[in-house]
Amino acid sequence: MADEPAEMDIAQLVAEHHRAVYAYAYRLSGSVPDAEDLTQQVFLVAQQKLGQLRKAGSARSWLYTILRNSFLKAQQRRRPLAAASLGLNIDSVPAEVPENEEIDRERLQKAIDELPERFRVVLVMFYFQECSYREIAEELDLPMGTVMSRLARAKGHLRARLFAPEQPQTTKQQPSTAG
Amino acid sequence: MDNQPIRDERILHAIEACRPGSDDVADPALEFLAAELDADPQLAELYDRLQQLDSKLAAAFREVPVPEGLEQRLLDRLATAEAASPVSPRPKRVSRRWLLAGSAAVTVAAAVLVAVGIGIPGPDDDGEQAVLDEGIRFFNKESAELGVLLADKAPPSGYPISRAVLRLPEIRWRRIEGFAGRNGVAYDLSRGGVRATLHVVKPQVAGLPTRAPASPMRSTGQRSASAWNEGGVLYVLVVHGDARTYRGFLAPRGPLA
Repeated sequence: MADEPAEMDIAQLVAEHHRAVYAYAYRLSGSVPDAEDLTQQVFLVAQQKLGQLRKAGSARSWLYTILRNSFLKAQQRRRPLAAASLGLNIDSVPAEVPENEEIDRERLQKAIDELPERFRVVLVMFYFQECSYREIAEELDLPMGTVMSRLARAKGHLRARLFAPEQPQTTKQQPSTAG
Repeated sequence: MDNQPIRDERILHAIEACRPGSDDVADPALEFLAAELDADPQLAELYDRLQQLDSKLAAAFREVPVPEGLEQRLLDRLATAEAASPVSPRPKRVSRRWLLAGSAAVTVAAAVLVAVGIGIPGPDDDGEQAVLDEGIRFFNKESAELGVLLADKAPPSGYPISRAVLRLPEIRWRRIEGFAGRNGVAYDLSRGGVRATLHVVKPQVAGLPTRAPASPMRSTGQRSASAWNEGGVLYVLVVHGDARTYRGFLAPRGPLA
């Protein structure tokens, strides 16, 4: 499958990937209308550049790349990135992994939305796209150390929001805009 | 949460970088982590716990309900875009000679365009999609300020309401700045509890229709928008609602496409 040359038409691409693209867009943008707009934007670009898709097996990662670029480009137009105040936060790892506890969907998205875009993208690539830190570094053209630092801080923030209800604020051990 | 403090930031970063259920810890660059985990049972326990937690979080990340009818809306939008600008067929292999001849022709054509002073289309982010994006963004972020009633004070000259939209007795307007790098006026066309805004800015965007489209160029679950050039200005109409609601804001006998 992965080596098959891409002979897909756009309708097939939409049918096979629109759910995954939308879900990815929702995690990045945090709102239903924005996610739908982003999804639409992705397939419009895909329609124009379908000739660039070499292998059918790589269609989804190709669409994800278009999505990330569209998202980041739109964010740059909208407003400057907020300064990050995310400290390393290993204390946020719960002593026991909740076995039967569902992770609250709204709280999860709220926690993601609180992150500056550059942290959010890395986090979504890690959890949603299952990229390794090396792959994230290559895709985003970032040093691996930067990716690891952003991952650690973003994941700490997420856990603090999801599993430490008694702490309304993120632990800010090392306020920093670095990374 | 009785974790022992980890003083070495490098170890913490490495632990956090390992995907759940992966063999990332075998990565040569993380050799030191493997050694630490072997030597420190508490660290190994923390690593296992984090892996389990990450596994649950990864599953939660992928649980996103998809809006009903999304696939059809996407296909409709793609069909509209294709009709407006037919997609060029997949590029075929061409000989070097033809490439050279083609690039020479393009160079000559570009020189002619510059020489006769014809504007070259703007960058990709200044096209149809960009102004539709911007229209929806402005619409979503509009403040509660109502603006100035049109009957009380006229807006700056050069930004008239399009003849294509329905004229209402009480229209309010306000100045807008930074609309895709443009300034102009936004007219509040809301009526009957349905919000609608007509953005009027300069300069125009090349390649847009010259009449208000009868159907929105962009439809999401809650927003319908279109953009067109008319009378030297760029119009971007955004309506809260579907295509039918959008059509309700167009003049009944306006210059519809």
